[in-house]
Amino acid sequence: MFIYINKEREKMDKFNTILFLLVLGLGRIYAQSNEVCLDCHNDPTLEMDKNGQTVSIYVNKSIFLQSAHNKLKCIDCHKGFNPDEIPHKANITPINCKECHKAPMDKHIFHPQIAMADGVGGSPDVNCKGCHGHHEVKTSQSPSSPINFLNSTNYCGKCHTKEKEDHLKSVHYVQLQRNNPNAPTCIYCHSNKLTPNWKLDMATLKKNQEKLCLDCHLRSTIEQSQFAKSLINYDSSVHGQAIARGNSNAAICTDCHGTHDLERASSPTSKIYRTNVPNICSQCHLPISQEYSISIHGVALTKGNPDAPTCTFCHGEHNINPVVYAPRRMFSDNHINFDVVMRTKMVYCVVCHANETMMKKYKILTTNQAHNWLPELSTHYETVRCIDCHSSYRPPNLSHNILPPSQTIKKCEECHNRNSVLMSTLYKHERAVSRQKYGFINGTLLSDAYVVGSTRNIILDTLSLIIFGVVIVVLLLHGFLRWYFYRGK
Amino acid sequence: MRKIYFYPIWLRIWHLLNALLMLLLILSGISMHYSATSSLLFPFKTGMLIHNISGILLTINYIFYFIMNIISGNIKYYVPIFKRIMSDLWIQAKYYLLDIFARKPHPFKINEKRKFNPLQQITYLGVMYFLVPIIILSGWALLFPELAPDEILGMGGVWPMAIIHAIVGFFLTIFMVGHIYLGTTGEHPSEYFQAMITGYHIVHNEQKEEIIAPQFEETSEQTYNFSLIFKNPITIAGGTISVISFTLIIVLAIIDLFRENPNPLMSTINYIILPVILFIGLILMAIGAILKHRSILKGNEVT
Repeated sequence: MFIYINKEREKMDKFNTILFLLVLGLGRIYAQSNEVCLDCHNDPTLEMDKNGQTVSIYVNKSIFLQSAHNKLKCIDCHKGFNPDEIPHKANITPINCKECHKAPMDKHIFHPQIAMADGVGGSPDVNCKGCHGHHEVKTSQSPSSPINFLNSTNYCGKCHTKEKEDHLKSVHYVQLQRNNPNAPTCIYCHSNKLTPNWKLDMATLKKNQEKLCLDCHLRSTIEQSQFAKSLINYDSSVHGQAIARGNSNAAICTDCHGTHDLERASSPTSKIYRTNVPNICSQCHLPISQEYSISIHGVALTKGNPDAPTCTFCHGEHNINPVVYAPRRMFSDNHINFDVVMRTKMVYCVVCHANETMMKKYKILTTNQAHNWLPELSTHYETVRCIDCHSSYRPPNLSHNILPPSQTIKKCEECHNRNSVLMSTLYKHERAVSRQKYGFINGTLLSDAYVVGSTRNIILDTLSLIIFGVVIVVLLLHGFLRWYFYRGK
Repeated sequence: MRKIYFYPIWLRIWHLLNALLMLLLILSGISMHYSATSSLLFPFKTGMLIHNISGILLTINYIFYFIMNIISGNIKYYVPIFKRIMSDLWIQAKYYLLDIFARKPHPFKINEKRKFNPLQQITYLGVMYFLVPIIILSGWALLFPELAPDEILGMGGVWPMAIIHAIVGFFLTIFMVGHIYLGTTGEHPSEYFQAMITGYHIVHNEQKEEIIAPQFEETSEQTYNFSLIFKNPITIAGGTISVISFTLIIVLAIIDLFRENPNPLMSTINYIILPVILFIGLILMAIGAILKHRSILKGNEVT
């Protein structure tokens, strides 16, 4: 039951006038004019009772006139309304936008469910009015249109509150605020098939996501992104290769950087801020991350050491990085073969640990100072990687638990019997040790810092030399006596 | 004097190859074992290459020997008479220690029935059927270290193999030195070496041939018992010193093996002072014998 409530007599008079005109048979002409509709509906207090709820049926004329539909007549949308009757239609049905806007998917790819909708009503995500509003619907050129790049955050944020909250923090939003026309809006990104709503397999969604980011950050023709340099080898990185193979577990841009909330790496709340890097990597590489967190580097990082290396320092960010600059002299001064450490990746250790200024700052011995006890230093550097001794090593998997110097495993025996190349190297060392031992100097070296198995060899070597010497002397004496007693016979 | 064709061509070829390969293996092995900044004998990589190639060839050679030794029946000469082994060994040892200086003939006559004396039998059996197989197997284990178990008795899996390989290699080196030296104990020092080339063993004094019971024949005008010259205070003192110091070195080294913290003083005593004393003892033994011999010749002592 619909009842008009006219609170003012004057309005009632107007209504009577319209009735009168309709009776005169001019009604049709006047009823099609917006003016006629607005005569009544321009009243802010105009309300009606609909399904037990009081709803406003006020139409703000000035808003309507600024809208995209200002050239349309009311009855173009509100079809079948009979101005003579109140209510104007026996069964008022929602307006069907699809009658004019026949291909909503062309523009609304971010809500794929719209394709299924009838364009009439439904939940706010498929209902045109949910975003575009009613009479105030804007043209795409209008600065307040949802299509305008500044507005989508707020429009979408009406429903996607969490995402809006995240996005307001993001560096993309900062760029939007600076009126950067290339900054991505909700619609810009979500016009690609990114979300599970698309009912695509995860790998495809991830590939789309990756392409979307790279289109701007690597391949943009508009503006050469500052990140393009670090991304240039992304395709050859493990992550890039894995996703190219269709591995749906592979990490893509958003897995590390976040989606709506992606912040600059310099922001302490950023997912990729220095101290957060191990956490972000631990999403997939949990055991390694755990090892790292108890390592001397991990502890230093949590203590706030600005120079402590994180995952990305050694492994690179988007690719395996070219090494940070280090003067060649640093390598030659430390008897390190640059090409070898480049190949074994130990160059990452060297660039910090051979850097005297940095090591002095933290009172750590430089590579050179720490290994001066080690004979054949350059040979060791060429054959043994830093991590072989300085991590809790369990062959064949190297540990990320880089140990403090006191706990460094001098596991010579482990390496020096793996193959004969290393074995010879051990004996080089042992010879030097035994020389020092005979010189009374080197008691400390042979203490518990050294492995039991290899010191045994010093004894065996010495013993074998003695026995061999005894045999030779005995035989020489034997032969000499034989010759001596045979003489002249 | 007659000649017996003792060493067929396959045996001589095997023996020569074995000797050459062993020599290469010992030299390259020592070179690798003690390789330092300056390469001892070979540069490390050359040494490794020589060692690996020689080791593989030696394995093939050993398999050849193993099969041929059975086919030809040569293996029967290796088996000692176990019943009397101890007394036989003592007879042979006594010969090498005493009677050889008097140029007495070998106690066990060599002929078609007996190719090796008991000491040779025991030694060759031990070397060819125990030490060589061990060194070959451990050598192959070192060629494929990745197949070794990760841990044996708390040590790396390859480590015991390397230690065994080195120790057996050391004993084989000792054997080779002794073997070559005893090769000079023929009638003429080069006699046995010629036999290993021509294949013919020369049998002397066949009329006196006695297979089992040794009979010493006086070949010298000197009729005094040669063992007497070792019965003098200097030799006995030297011998005592040698035996005690050698035993001490071995025992102390074994203790050293199980000691956790090295003791520099004990090490110096064990590895420098005791060996010097040992060598002095050995030389004393020789000096004593020579002095005694001279005094006998001068007629100062009655034999």
